[in-house]
Amino acid sequence: MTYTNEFEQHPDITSTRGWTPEFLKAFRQAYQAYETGNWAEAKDLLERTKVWC
Amino acid sequence: MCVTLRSLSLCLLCLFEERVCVLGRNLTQVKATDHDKGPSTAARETRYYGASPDGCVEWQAVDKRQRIQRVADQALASMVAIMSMLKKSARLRSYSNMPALVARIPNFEVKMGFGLHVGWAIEGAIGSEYKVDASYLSPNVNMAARLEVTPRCLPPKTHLSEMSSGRTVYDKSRLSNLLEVTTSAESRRHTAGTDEKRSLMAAENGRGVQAATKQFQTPLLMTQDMANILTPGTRAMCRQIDRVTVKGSTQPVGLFTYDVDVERLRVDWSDSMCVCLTSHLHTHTLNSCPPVTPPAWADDVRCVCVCVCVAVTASSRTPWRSRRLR
Repeated sequence: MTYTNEFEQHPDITSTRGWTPEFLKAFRQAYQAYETGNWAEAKDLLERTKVWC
Repeated sequence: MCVTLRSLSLCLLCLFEERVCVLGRNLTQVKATDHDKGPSTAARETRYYGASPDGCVEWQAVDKRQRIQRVADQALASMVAIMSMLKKSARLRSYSNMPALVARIPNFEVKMGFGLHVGWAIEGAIGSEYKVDASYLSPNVNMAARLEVTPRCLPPKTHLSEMSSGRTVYDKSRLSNLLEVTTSAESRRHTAGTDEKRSLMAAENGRGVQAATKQFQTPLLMTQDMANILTPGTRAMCRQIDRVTVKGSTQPVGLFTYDVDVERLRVDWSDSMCVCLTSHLHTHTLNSCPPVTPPAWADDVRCVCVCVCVAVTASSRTPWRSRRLR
C-alpha cells in the first residue's frame, strides 16, 4: 500500500504516537530554557512535561 | 530485562540527492529543447519531466527539496514501522516465550535502536564470492553509529522516559564530563574537575564511559541535519532533546527524537499470517515450544515462501558460481 504521508496514514505509525501537541509545545519551551542556561526554569518546565503522557 | 539482539544504524546517503540532480538536469534539457514548441508543450514539460528516451517513463515534477524531504520522511517512518513490527511479530513473540530462554533471561524482549543522520558516504562491496554485502564508509556513517549506540542499551520502556522529560537531563549535568558527549550549556558550567568527576562517576556506576550513553533513553535519535531535511509537518512531530559535541568532533550537533509508544499498539495475532507460519516451522524444528496451530491455508503459503527463498538464493549465487566454474 502506498501512502502519501506515512505519519498520518500508516496505521502502525499513527497508533503508536508517543506524543501530543501539548507535550511537544511544553517540552520545547523547557528545552529552550535548558539550552539558554535557565536551569531552574528548565527544571520546573521539564517536571511539568512528565505528566503529559 | 531487555536484550538487544541487533541494532541498526542508518545513514541516509546523498546518492538520492545526486539522482535528483540528474533529474533536474533532464528537466532543464527538456525544457530548453521543447521551449519553442508552444506554450502548451512548455506547460506540460513543466508538470512532467525526466522522461526516458522512449517516452515510457515520466516522473512527476517535484522540486529537489521536496524529493529529499519525502525520502527523509520515509526513512523516519520506516524506523517507526520497524518498531511496530517488532512488537507485532509473532515469531519474535514465540522466541520470547521459549522456556529455555525465559529461564535464562526473564522478560526477554527484542529491542532495536536507530540512529539517523544524513551525509555523503562511500559504498563498497565486502564479503566473499558466496555472499557480497554493501558497506558504507564515511564520518557520517560513524555519526549514525554513535547515535545508535546510545539507544542500544535501553530499558524496555523508552518513550517519553524520565530522561527525556527532565530528570535525567539534570543527572546528565553531573555526568557530562564522563560522557562521550558534552552539551554546550554544560561546557560553560563545567570547566574544572573533569578527571575527578569522571573517576567519581565511573566508580559510582562501575561501568565506564560506554554505559553512560544510556542517558538518552529513546530508541530513535537523529541529528539536526536529518531533522532539517524532514518536511515541516514531520519535523513538528519531533523534538530536540539536546545539543552535543560528539567525541572526535568540534562541531556541536542537535539531537532530535520522535516519540513512539509501541505499547499502544493493538496486536491481533491471528492476522500475522506468514509470521505465524514461520513460528510454526520454527517450533517444530526446535521441538521445544508448544506448536502453533497453522491456519488452513498454511501449507500453500509455506510452499510459496520456501520457493521464494530458494529462488532468491539461487539467483543471487548463480553468477558467482558460474564464474567460479569457468
